[in-house]
Amino acid sequence: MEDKYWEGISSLQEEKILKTNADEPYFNGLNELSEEKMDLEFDTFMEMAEGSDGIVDDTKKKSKLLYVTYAAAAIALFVAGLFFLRNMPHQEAKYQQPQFSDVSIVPKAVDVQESKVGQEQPSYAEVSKKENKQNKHKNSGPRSETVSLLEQEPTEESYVILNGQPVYDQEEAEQIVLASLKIMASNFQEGKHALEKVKYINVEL
Amino acid sequence: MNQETFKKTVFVLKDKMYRFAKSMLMDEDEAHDLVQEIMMKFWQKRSELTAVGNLEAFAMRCVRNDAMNKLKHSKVVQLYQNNLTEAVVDERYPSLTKELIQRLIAALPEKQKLVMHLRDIEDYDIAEIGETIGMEESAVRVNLTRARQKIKAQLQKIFDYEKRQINKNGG
Repeated sequence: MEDKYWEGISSLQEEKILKTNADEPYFNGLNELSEEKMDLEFDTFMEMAEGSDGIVDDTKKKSKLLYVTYAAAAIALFVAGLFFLRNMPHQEAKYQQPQFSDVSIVPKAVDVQESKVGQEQPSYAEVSKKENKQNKHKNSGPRSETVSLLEQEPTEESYVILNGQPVYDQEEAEQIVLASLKIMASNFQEGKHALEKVKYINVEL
Repeated sequence: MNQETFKKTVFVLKDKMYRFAKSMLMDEDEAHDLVQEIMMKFWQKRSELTAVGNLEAFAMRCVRNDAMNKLKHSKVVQLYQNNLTEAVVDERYPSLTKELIQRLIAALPEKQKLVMHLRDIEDYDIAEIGETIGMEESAVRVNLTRARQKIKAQLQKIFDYEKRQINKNGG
């Protein structure tokens, strides 16, 4: 019977006999092993199980709260993103000329070469006319009314000429120059933004 | 499933589950914790257990799966088991106790160990073993034979050593 056991061909009944009757320490050892028990009472287990049920419920509540928080955060982000995206084009299109408290500049197109006598003169012409009138006493010859910035001969050296009008005050001139540069810079920036939107350009020479 | 039904159908399996877990993990405390955790899961999902056909086979499969997962994560135990056979053979031979038999079984390859435990300790028949560990009956027989042959060889070494010790002391 033992040989059959070691060959793995014995039946369950034969093996039970070996375990109960044989004096072999090996089979006794197997018997002892099969009688080993786990030290856990049902009541103790139920106490632990009921305790863990409470814990499980608690974690479920916490996880639900977490989900709600995540969902709220996601919705808030989505709304903020949508608002930002909708406002973006307006911000780009809206261009504000830099404002200066002391000086306001309205650029005017001046074509010095094309200006003629009798034609409507731009605003700077009036200023230059006055100056010319003053100079008439000195220069008797006929004088063309064609205005040229280069022709002006101010008594003092002006810092800057705005619409044909010389500016002698240094601070005012600085502000005018600064404002002009700002306008130029903003125009460049506008141009740059416009170029960014150009997807396709075809140049024929 | 109420408490009483759970006690009679599921909780009664705890000793078999514990022995099975212990044979794999080779640690009483770990086996205890593992079976307790599985029992907890069973209790929490007791309504679903009614749909299970063979509860005992299902419970034992759960033990095997959880124990194997645990072993994968504990390299120390794995290393210990790998060196077990060498330790038994090379070091001093203790007397043939149930602990030694358990160690010899634990040192077997995975399938042989499972088959041998279920057969020799839990008294399962071949078909039950096959169902529990998902193996063909013929494969179960082959693994059982190989496992017993290996245990026999190990025991032979131990007996030979003891005989030599007795002769040495006697002479």
